[in-house]
Amino acid sequence: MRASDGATTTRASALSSTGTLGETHAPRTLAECVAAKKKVERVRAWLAKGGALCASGPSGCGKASAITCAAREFGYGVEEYAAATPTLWRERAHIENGDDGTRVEYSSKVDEFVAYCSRATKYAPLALTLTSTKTNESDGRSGGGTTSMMASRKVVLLIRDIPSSDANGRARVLEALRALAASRGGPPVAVVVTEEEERGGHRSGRSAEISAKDVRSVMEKAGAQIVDFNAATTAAITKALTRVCELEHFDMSPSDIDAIVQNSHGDVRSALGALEFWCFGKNRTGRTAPPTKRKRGEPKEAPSAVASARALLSSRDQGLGLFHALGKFLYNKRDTHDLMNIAGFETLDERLRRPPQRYDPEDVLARSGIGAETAVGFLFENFVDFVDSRSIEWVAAGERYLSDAFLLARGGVGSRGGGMASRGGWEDVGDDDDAVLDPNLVAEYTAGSVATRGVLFSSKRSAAGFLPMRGPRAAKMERAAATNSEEVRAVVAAALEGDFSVGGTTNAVATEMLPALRLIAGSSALGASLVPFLPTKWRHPGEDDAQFTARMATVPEGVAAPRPADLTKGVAHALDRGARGSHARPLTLDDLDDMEDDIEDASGSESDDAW
Amino acid sequence: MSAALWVDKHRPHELGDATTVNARTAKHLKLLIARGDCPHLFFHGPSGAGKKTLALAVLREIFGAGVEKVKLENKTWKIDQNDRGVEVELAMMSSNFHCEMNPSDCGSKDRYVVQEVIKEMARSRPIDADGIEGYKVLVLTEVDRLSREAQYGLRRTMEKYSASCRLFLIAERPSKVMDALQSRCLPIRVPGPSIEEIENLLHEVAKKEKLELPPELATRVAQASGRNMRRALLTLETCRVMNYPFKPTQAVQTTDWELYINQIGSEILAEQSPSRLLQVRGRLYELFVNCIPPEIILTNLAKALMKRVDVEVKHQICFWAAHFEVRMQRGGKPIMHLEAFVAQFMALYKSHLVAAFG
Repeated sequence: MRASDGATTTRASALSSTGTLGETHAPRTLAECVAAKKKVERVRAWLAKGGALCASGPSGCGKASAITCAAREFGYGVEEYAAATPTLWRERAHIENGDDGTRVEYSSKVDEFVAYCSRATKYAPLALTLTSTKTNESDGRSGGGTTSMMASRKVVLLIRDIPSSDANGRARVLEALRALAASRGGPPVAVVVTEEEERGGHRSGRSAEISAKDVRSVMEKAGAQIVDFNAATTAAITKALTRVCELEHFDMSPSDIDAIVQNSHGDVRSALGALEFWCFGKNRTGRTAPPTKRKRGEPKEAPSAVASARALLSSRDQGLGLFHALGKFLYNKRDTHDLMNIAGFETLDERLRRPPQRYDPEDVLARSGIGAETAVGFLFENFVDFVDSRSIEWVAAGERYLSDAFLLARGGVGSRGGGMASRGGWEDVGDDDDAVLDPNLVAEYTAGSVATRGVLFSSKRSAAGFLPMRGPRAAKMERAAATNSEEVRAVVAAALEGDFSVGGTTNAVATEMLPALRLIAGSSALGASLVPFLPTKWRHPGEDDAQFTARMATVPEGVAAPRPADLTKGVAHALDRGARGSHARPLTLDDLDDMEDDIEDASGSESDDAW
Repeated sequence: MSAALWVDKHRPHELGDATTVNARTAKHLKLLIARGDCPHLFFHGPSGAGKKTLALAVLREIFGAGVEKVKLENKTWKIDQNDRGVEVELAMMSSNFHCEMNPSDCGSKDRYVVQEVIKEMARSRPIDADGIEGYKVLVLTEVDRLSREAQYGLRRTMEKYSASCRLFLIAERPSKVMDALQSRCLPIRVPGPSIEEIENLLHEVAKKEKLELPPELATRVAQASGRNMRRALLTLETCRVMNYPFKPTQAVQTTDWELYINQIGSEILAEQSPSRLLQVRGRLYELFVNCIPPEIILTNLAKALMKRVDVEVKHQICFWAAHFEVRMQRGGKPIMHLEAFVAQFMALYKSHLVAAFG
């Protein structure tokens, strides 16, 4: 019995006092951690080396615990960054008018975070243990002495709370993190970020918020260690729950624990919460449940329906990931048995007959929170792969549906500023009978329906197994085309002596002027002299921003056509349209010298006629 | 060295110069200006018909040679909108008497530009020697690509400032310009020149450039141009730099993207399957990135396909091409509608083949 152990007795009484199970039974050694062994090893390796670490992963997978445990193992203390209570603006305004004594300097959360980071890198040993050094300093000891003494107490810096702000604050926070990751010599720093589930239409609305991805890439570039945690495995959570049950003397059958684990979605925190909720107020058995070890190969006892339902009640509300939801549409699983029992199934036209689908497409869309536009984009990109190679007519039908759906989706979101297809919107539909429905919302809803049902109807699954999914490329192509069309205009304008407006419309410039310019420039020396520039800042399809910028960096100065913006920097670009053209001044002898090489027939007297 | 392209060099600068093409229209415009004032004008017609040239010639007729001294500016407009300021950047050419711009270049922010620019122009009216306040002219190109909001905005400001500002609107398709705007202007239709007119033009340019142009070549260049003067002149110049003296049998270059679309057409006809469709999608993206407008891709592709199929299928190609072109106009990602057209054609063609040959 481990009850004799001092630490365990204090933990056993936890429920009756304060703190949740998750807090009182946080793992104390690395062996107890739910994170995968490999990841834990990488955390240890980092701590042995020092420097910065960026741990990312879904919530409740044991990121912070792994770091804390590793720190304990190495004998480090953990200093967690605690965001100060922010000064309320109204409060500050009130106090500012008061006496000098009560004046409060305003500092935003971003300010404080940035200050904390720079303190951490600059005067690491002193500032971090400020509270404990206070007495020493008042003793009048020399600063050097304090530093050496404090350095002996080793500290790991843990940053879990990254402030969110507007775009400006965001840049400052990221810069602070970069500096933190790049600095050497300070205490080891661990930044823990939680990866949000990827959800289609959600990100656009909160672009200023710092995502785990941003932090991760910034810190990786600055040379920090990166550890990506995965969601905790079922086995690891089961182990953790069993451990807690033992310590707390809960009477839980393994199948009940399984039920909780299955509904925890790899989140230990939520699993422990569920366990606590379940066992709250129940009689303790007083004895430790006998560890019923399953033998290898022995089938698992499935959790009862009641237990599963109960576990679901206390589990985290889990949406569907983007790819998960799309998979449901694209793989298009249908119930093929008991078709005879469906009334009228046999009387349908054979071509239109479909077995009942397993999922309600609207429900899947609503749960995944993908906006209709995103859904259509993804389905369009991937749908063709999933259709049998012989049934092109169904591909055509599916694409017709998608084209319809996209029109509806665009009509829906266009006037609302785009990207407003929020999950809230989906849930609002039909909630309130009295309220007038926003017609845009209906269009959004319909678009989702048409797209998903259209794809489900027309995709005759090919026999192929797993197929990789692609993200929609259309937006990327549009951006590339926009960059290129700017370049086209610049090139044509340069060919027309800086006159950007006589080349025709943008369409004409791309379809008529540019191909001709290419041909003219490519054919002979005379042609090359007529066309000053050819497109150089040209984006290829499939090239991303980084590759493009990298390639552009190698293009020498002066080769690319100047953009209208460049022309007008400083001095406005002026030209006289009257000075050229068929009624321009006759060519001077100097001009002719230049041209003689190319034009054999040209002579001074003849060019007068051109006037 | 003034080595302008012919298409620019031989542009008529005055209404009187326009003798080969659009001569009648130019004459009428000249009479109109001679009466002293000028209404808002709306030039519409296909690409390369001479809309912009006529508009600039009218300007010269009104204001004289001074209007040709233009400078290029990249103007930044700051617009206060309720709570936040909007900044729009747009390149424009301007002289003391007019300015020209393409407001559709700034996408959905075009409505701010059209209103602000007219207001600004109205503030600085030119005064002539007699101290009479004149008007400035605003030349707007690609009006058919303006958003609805911008067109509404234009309508309001047009009336309010009509004393100090005249508008020359230029558009390819009048049907995309709202009626209210059209009715406030004098519409001037600039039709695409006939093949003969283009031939005459080519001979005229060749004469000015001291070149021997065989009539056969002129005919072929004119026919290849699709009644588009800009294209005809560019093609002729291409022929010139490629090979001179001209040969009557000389190759007339078509553009690279047209060849590419023809190739896509043959690929579609060769095989109709989902994997081929994906391949075509890649090619369509390639065209997009090279700035070929989707409507033009659709039209050309439909034409390329129609050349090589039976009559029954032709009707259906027309139907679906029209169907998806309307879709494209109404919104959404053009690739989706284009590919739907290709898929639809593949399905049609395959079932036709199966029916015909079993």
